[in-house]
Amino acid sequence: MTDPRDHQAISPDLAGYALDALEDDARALVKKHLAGCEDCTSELEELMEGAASLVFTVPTVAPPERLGERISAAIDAEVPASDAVVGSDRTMPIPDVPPGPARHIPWYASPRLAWGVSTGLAASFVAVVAVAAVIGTRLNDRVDELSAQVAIQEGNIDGISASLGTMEQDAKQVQSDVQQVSQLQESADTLEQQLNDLRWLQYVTSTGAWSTPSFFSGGLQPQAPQGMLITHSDGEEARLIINGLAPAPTGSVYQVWLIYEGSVIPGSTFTVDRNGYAVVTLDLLGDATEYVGASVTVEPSGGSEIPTGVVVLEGTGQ
Amino acid sequence: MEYTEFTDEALLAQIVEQDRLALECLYQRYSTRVFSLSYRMLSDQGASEEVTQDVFLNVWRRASSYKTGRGKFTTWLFGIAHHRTIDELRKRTRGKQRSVENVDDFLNLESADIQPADAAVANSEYATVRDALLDLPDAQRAVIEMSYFGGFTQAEIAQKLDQPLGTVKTRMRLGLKKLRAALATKLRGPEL
Repeated sequence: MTDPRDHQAISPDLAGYALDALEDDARALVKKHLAGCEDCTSELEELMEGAASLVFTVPTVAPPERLGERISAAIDAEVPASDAVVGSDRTMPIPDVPPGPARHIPWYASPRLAWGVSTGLAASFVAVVAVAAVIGTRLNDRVDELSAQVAIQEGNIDGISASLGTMEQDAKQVQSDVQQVSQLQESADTLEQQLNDLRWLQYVTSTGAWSTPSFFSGGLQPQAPQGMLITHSDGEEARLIINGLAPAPTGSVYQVWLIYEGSVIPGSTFTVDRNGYAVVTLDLLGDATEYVGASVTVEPSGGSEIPTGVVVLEGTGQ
Repeated sequence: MEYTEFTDEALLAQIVEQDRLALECLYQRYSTRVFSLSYRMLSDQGASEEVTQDVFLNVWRRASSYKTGRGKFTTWLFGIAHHRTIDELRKRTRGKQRSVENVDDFLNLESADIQPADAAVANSEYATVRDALLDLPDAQRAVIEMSYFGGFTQAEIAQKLDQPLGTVKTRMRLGLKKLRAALATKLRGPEL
């Protein structure tokens, strides 16, 4: 009997198993679980079918004709294949091929080809000696060339030192310019804030496929960050639009958490622009009826598996 | 009845009985697909030949391990081919930093370089799967292609995309399920 806790932990890894995208230890855990879980085995079959279809997106390149002959020769050279298939008792069609064939008789075992390989090795040795001599000569040339370049660079350094005095005067002028730029920047920030508000409204009014927004808040203060979540009519995608959220502390990011009946699903991580504005795209699980709400927390860079930081925004679903 | 008229499963049953002609027939049907997949992922003709050889030798040795009713033969075969290729890819890149720029290659679905040489195929499987793949949200397609063609693990993808591991897992699962559902709707034939 499979432990239900194992099932809950393993099932999110089935797609990774189908795509060969698990680390070795995770793969071993899934494999062990599959032996006793019919539900996961069935789901894996579906996922593997999806994965296998990707083969058909690859441009076709025919293998060389000699490959078929090589395989045939390898089979000829084997002990009766009946030994190989007896004892194979896999209960499901999940590939788990070892790095190389267990009793692979290589094509180069042929005496005729082996002779060719030996001759080839001798010729290669002679070629290596000749190449080494050429490389030695080229290395000497390269050393001379680099020495000349170093002399040129030393001359350039003297010229740069002389220019530094002039640059100090220029720096004072730049400081004055920076003050003016700072004043202009403040005006630009105000305009950008207004533009962000317009973008916000545009999302809601221009896309008929999107739901009525549910509003998120970071508190009751007038300057508290605000958010708005809209879901697509297909129930699989949502956008969280955020305004007025301070940049995350250094080494941290913001992360969205989607709250479903009985579970919290990690969503995307994000940062905000200097006006605290961001639009975050979220994958939903396709069943909007189970969606309860969402929240945003501060998490370490790279995100977390479960919420660990301070909640800065939260709201409920429709 | 000619072997060419046999279903994949019927040929496999013959292979269990050590029928070399049946293996040859399966090889004719699928060696190009297996080789192409491996060549796309490894960009190395010699290694791709070795992988293809291993895959068909595995079919020869382990034909009896395929269980009818547990998924299509092509799913089983391409699963073996992919697993073997991934193994080779990771062996080559172990300890090396793989560039995320390569991911762009996988996302370039509409470029001319991935048009199949076989025009008949272009009108069937290729076009169907490509459309289904393009219908996926970008985020889901990206993680699937990074893992399947790039050989990146879920943990590596999470790191490269700067997304939580749980998000990557969810995207893979949703993407593969949608892909499979779309193909089930669009494909009418018994085999992909």
